[in-house]
Amino acid sequence: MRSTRPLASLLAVLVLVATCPTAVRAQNVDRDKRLREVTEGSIALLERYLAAIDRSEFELDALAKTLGKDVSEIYTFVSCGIRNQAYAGALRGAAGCLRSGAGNSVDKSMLLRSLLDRAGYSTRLVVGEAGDELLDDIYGCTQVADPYRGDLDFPYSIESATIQAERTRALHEMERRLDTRLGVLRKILGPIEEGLSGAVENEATGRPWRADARRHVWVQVERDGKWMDLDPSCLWGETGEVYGGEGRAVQALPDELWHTVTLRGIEECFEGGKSLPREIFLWRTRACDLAGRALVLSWRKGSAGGAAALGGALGGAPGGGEASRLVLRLDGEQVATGALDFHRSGASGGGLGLGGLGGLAGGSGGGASGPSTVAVGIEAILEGPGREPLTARRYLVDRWGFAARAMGDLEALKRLRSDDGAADALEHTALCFACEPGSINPAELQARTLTAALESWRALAVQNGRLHIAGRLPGDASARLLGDAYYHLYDRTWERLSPVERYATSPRLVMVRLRRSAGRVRMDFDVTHEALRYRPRQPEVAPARWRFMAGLLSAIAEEEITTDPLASLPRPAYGAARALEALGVGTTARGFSAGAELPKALPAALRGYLSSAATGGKTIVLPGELPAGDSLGWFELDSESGDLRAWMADGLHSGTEYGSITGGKGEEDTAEASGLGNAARGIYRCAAQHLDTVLEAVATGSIDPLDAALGAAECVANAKDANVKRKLERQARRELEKRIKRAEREFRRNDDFRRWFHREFKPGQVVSGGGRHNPDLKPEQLADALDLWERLGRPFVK
Amino acid sequence: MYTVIRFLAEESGEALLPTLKARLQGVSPGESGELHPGPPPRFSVSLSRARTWEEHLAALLSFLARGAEVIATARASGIRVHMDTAVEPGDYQGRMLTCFPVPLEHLRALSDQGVSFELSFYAGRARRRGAKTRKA
Repeated sequence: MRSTRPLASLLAVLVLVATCPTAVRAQNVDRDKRLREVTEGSIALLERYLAAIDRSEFELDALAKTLGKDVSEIYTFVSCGIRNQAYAGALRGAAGCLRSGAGNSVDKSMLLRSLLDRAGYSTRLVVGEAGDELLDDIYGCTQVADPYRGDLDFPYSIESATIQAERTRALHEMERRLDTRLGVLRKILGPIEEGLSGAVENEATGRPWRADARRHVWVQVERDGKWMDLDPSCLWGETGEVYGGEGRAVQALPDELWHTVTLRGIEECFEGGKSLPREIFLWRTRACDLAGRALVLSWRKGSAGGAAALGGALGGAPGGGEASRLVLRLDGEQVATGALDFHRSGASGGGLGLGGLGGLAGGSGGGASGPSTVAVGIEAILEGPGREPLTARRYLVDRWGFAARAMGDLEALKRLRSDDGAADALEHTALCFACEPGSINPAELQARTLTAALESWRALAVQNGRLHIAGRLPGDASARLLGDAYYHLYDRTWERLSPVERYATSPRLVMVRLRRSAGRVRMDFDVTHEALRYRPRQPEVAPARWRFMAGLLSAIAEEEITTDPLASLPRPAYGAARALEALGVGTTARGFSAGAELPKALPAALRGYLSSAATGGKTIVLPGELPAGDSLGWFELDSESGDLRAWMADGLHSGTEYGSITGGKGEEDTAEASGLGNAARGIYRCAAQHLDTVLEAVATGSIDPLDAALGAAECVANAKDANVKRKLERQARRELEKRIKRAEREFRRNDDFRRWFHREFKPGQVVSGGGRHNPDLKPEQLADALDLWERLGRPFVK
Repeated sequence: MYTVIRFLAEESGEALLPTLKARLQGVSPGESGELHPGPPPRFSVSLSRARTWEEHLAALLSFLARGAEVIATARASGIRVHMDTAVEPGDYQGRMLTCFPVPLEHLRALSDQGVSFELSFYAGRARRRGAKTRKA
């Protein structure tokens, strides 16, 4: 009996060894099955959501199909369904006007014409002028809240339940803080708000919006061999009536009415002891042609690295291989390109000894020809009627460095040694521009979000109980999504900060930086005037801007304020400073004016720059505790103008500039208000980048795949309710707006309705605002009146 | 321009409204609107749709004279009598100055009979001013 024990043990071990893989396999099969169920279920659900979205809110073809061929129906949609906004020229075009739900007479006419063309009518435009009375009638009438604005969230993403919960909590907390701070902000914004209001409403300044909107455009449609006028800007308008006086019929708008965007690729080279710019490419297009389209700048490396290096060795002559290029693509199609060679030899006099064979050869050659690349960047120029050109430059690579560039320190250039890392940085960089002059339509944003989420799900594969990214992740779509989300929040924040609606129509150019690495996608994004300075290879950590915002804000939040360095500032700088404080930035920051001693911990070059800025009248606001490395950020406050700019030492944030499309005084005020909005936007940025982090986590398998999938599925399922709720709310808002606009229209032009209202409806109403002596009606009262009048059979008052 | 006179009852006087309306038919036949249950319970009578303010004043004085008895009955029963003139866009647009003088005798008549009075300016655009029609 004893002798059988070892045998039994051996058998047991053998059985265990034999069955264990089977158990694991069975477990994996079970997990695979569950994962597939979850994945396929989510895809099916997302597809249904996507199909349910009303595309007529943002797609011209879908809208044209909905409206049919009735001229009156099409005209009424544009005149009553699209709000009037006063600005100059053709900015949004038909597609942008529909997306925004608003436009001036030019853009609304382009939308109307586009819809009529789709319905098969022959049309033309008429360009005339509007008098003050007509302008007041068009732009001064009751404006209800924009129905296209809604709450924004990222309901569709691949997240574990834990991360989702944390993200939701963080979002709510951020929203709460934002609300609190904005509440305080409103109380202390006095000087700035006065400035904003004055720019628009002060009669003595000539009310610049009138000049912007003076050029009045409407549409003519051919009916039975005659041209019939349709003026979509007139809420009370009727087909066949002309309101803008005599005009000139044209098939195409004159050139001077178009807003344009010019993009210019630039390279700076160190040559003859100076940094000289060189144009890589130049591309110009109409602003409205970019509405809703993806503009991507990418770097295409030459076919053979040796060839490039050899080119450098030969003194800058092109090598035998294909040259590396910067390529600009619009919706995937190349629209501009230019050659760029990082491996040219160094400057003469031993200034720059460059890496690689080219650098060695050039340097040893002593006086070898060819400039050396210091920086690569892109410049965007926005031009249009009624405004000065707005230029923004952004560096993809800047070897010179922020402080040295600002101080014109050429010695720093001479110390540069290698281009290797610079070229590498470009290799991993693509820029996605989203130029959309106008508001973002939430329905479109939702459709894009769903599409990106759907593509993400489809890119996932299940194998051995794990999720893998097997397909192509929607990199560009995600970048656009974040850019759009950013817009949206920007608009909301802007709207809350500024009491002047008109400023929300400023054209903006958003650039999204997209970096790919081993199947992972990292994104960050910002508005126009930012410079990305080259940073040497670093571990892949959270984006520096995020670190900056987190570092600065948390340092500020944790530290007690001991003195108020801003109290001595004159207005309006004081107002801007207090606003910053309300946003949580100023509470522990330290202010430095001219003569003050800057912290010794600052790098010498930066100390030099900051001292120079302080001497020039700027107040420098630094965080109480200086973060280590390049992530230091600071604010510069102009005591004269109140202009407020945020900067970062690593070049990731080099200040922001905005311009209102109307130009003139408003621009200064706009810059002020946008400075205030900057801090608020940073908060959202942190939340948006969660998406990126989570995708990365799934890619690297750092969270349980089943947990991630279940969390995401739950997220999708929960989103259903939110989706439906938002949709219904939006529909209700749109319906109410339509009712109100129709009621206003009838009220203004229909004597029967007005007299019935006067005799029968008015005595039962409580009039609001202004008391007995200057009462007014709520828009809803008018809508109710029209409903009742129509239910009664539109009675005629005897 | 469009002038109406309204009879506005509290709950206690609601029952009297049909009687008053019938009596007013004798004073201004065909001008009275429907009884409205409210709140407040009421009916209105159209006084004038004339183009000039003077004609409206004349219509007002005439009605106050003809309907004095009915108005007195209404007032005695706690029913408010209220005159309201709608000034429409065509009545003031394109003018440098628009006045609505109320002579003393009208004020006195209104006051004596306990009739309140208001002008209501309506937004809009005069149909035939500044716009020319090119019907296809």
